[in-house]
Amino acid sequence: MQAPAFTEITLDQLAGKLSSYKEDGWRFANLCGTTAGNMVEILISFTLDEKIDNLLLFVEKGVKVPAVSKIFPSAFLYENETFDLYGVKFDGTILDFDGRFYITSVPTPMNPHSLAAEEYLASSSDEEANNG
Amino acid sequence: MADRTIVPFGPHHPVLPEPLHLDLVIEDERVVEAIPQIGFVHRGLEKLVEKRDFKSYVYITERICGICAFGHSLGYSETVEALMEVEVPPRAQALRVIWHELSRTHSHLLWLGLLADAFGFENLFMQCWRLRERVLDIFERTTGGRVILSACNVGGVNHDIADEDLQGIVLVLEGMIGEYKTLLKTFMKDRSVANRLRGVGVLTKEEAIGFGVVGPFARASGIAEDIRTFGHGGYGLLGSFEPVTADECDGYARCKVRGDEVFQSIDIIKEIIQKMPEGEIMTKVKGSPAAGARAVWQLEQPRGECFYYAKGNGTKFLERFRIRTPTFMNLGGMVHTLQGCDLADVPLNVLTIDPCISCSER
Amino acid sequence: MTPLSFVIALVAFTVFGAVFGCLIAGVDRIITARMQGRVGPPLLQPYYDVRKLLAKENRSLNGFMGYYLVLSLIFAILSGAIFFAGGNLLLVVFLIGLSTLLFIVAAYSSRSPYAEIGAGREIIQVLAYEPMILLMPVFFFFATGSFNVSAIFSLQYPLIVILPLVFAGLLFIITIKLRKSPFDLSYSHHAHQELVKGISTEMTGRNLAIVEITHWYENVLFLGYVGIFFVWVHPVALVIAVVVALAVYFLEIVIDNTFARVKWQSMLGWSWAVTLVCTVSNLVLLTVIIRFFAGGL
Repeated sequence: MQAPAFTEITLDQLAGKLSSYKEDGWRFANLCGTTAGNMVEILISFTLDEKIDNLLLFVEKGVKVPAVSKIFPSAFLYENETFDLYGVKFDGTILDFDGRFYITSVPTPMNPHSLAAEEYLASSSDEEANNG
Repeated sequence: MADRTIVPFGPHHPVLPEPLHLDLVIEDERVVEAIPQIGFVHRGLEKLVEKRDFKSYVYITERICGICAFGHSLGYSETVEALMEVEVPPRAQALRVIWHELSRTHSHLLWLGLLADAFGFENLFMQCWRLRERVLDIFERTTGGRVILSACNVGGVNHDIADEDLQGIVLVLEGMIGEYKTLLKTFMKDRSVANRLRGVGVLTKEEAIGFGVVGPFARASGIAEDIRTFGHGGYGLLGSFEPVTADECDGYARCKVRGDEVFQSIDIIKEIIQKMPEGEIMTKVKGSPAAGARAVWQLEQPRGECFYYAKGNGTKFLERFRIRTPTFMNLGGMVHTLQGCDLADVPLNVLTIDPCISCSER
Repeated sequence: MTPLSFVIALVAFTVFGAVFGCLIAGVDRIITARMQGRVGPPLLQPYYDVRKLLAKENRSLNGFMGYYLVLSLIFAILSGAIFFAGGNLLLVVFLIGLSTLLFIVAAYSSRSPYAEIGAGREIIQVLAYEPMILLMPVFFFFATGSFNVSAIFSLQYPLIVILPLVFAGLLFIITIKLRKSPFDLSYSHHAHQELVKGISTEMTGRNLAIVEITHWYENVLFLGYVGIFFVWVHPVALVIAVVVALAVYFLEIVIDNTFARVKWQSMLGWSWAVTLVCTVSNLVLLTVIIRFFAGGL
């Protein structure tokens, strides 16, 4: 089995890579986030027969990523999930649930450094300060 | 202009096997627009990887879903073994394939029953589930559990199957084939069933490729892709493997593909039992995943290709474990088939992708 | 039909119709279960269900639904009483049609999308079976010279001899009226369909109990429709009629367990086709019989 490839790319290389994968007939397989320090590591995977290609994109707080779902339509679910769990916004996703895809009790539960998480912590500590 | 009603379909609905919400905009029993919503059983299981070390996490993966339970524990174990470069003994790999193919058999029988129930043929539903009980009895005899098996772990399997039990499995499966053929004939040949299945939820091959759908949903539209052809793990023991495909691209084709896959699974199990290697069933795994190590893995579950991603950080807790389930991939295609269908076909369209929403939401 | 016979029939039907309907429903569930490889509930389960439903709090959306359903029940009882008192068959058919109409209006009054779509399907079901059900009294008149059910007791031979095709058409239509697969589109006894429970989705508690009891009375009446084809002057005729009616019900259970549900387009098409073929061909048959055996029309 060919070892899967992990390639790190930057935000501006994303569009080009996506179109070349689409043209060559690769299948979109996965889009997920991982907390990497202050940044979020977005993994986008494509498969073609036995090959698996993975793109790694490191995104900072508040940066918007151009939507993958414009080229690969079924990615809209993944983009909504990543926004709900990690706070990474995808610009132009084809069906946007605007944060109400998963009903979580705290915002962006898997990424404590996101903007939404910081605002939530600030507002809840304000409440504590007011109530205490 | 005709009156439009909005019918809220789900999440509590007797015909749906899983909690899925669809807002159907209906005009005279024809669906004009369908807006999906999931997220009712999100349990945050992927966050739990930070709290359970990588050896205990396998028990969490089993509990993601009741039907694909063994599949997820198998996928998790194989991903972590790829991450830590662990060599699994051949007998364990073969045993894993046997349990996984049995999982596939019981999952497809369950699905056939649900499909029959959805178009009002309750008798057929009961017969399919009655046949499924025999597979669950095999599980209970070999692992002690009917649904959650706790048989797979990182490095191998927890239980061995004795030779006479292996022969017993072959006997039970061969005994099932006759009854199963009668059931399948009803699905394939009965006129009232064909009335409900043919031409329902058509997804052409181009659309299927565009949406990137996987599993029997894709194979019914003529796409011959199946992870088992790559021969990972115990599947390498098989002489030859051809994915089952169909060309009609509708509900009937999906029923045919899943129906024939049961025969294929039974043949695979018999072949593996014949070629069963001797030896150990577990390699002791020492240490933890290396920092910065990444691994991806694919597994052909009953519902399609499941994609796993694991990342280590040097401690005994994994940094990230991602399970991308086949239903998550197929939901896009499903919403597309719902546009413009009859209201009576909505449960059939939802069921023909074999939805496992609890898997998708983890 | 005299006023006295009507009153006797009313009391008898109210009591025995419910008992018989309940027992038939219980036997139905046990036989269905055995066919599916299950054990099935106890025989009196429908009675236990109704008793439980009557004891529940009223949680319906509006007060009107209850009134419509009670009226529907009353008309069903009246229709059955007139039938078993030997009264006018046309009146029976219209009263039971009114009962069904009130059931549909009750579902519409709840304003829930599932109930509305279920009620819509029930209307299509009525459209499907009503032609045959209306033509049946007409053929009854051709055969006996009267619209009164009591006319069958003075026949020299059972109606089945000269109206076999109408009977065949009636058997097809009865599957729709008894709400059995393949035609259980609007109200299925098991809530495994896309409309949750179809027309009776919003009916709970006492309302649902009234619906159940109405269906018991209706089932007895429809088996009566089947039975009148087998009654004539012979003393054993009534026994034969009852046996045939029960055999037909058993046949319906078998059909229920061997067919999937069809969509409304097929149901409408098939029902009208069957109605057309059966009535026209029986009309031809009647003409032939009357010309050759009774000497002139």
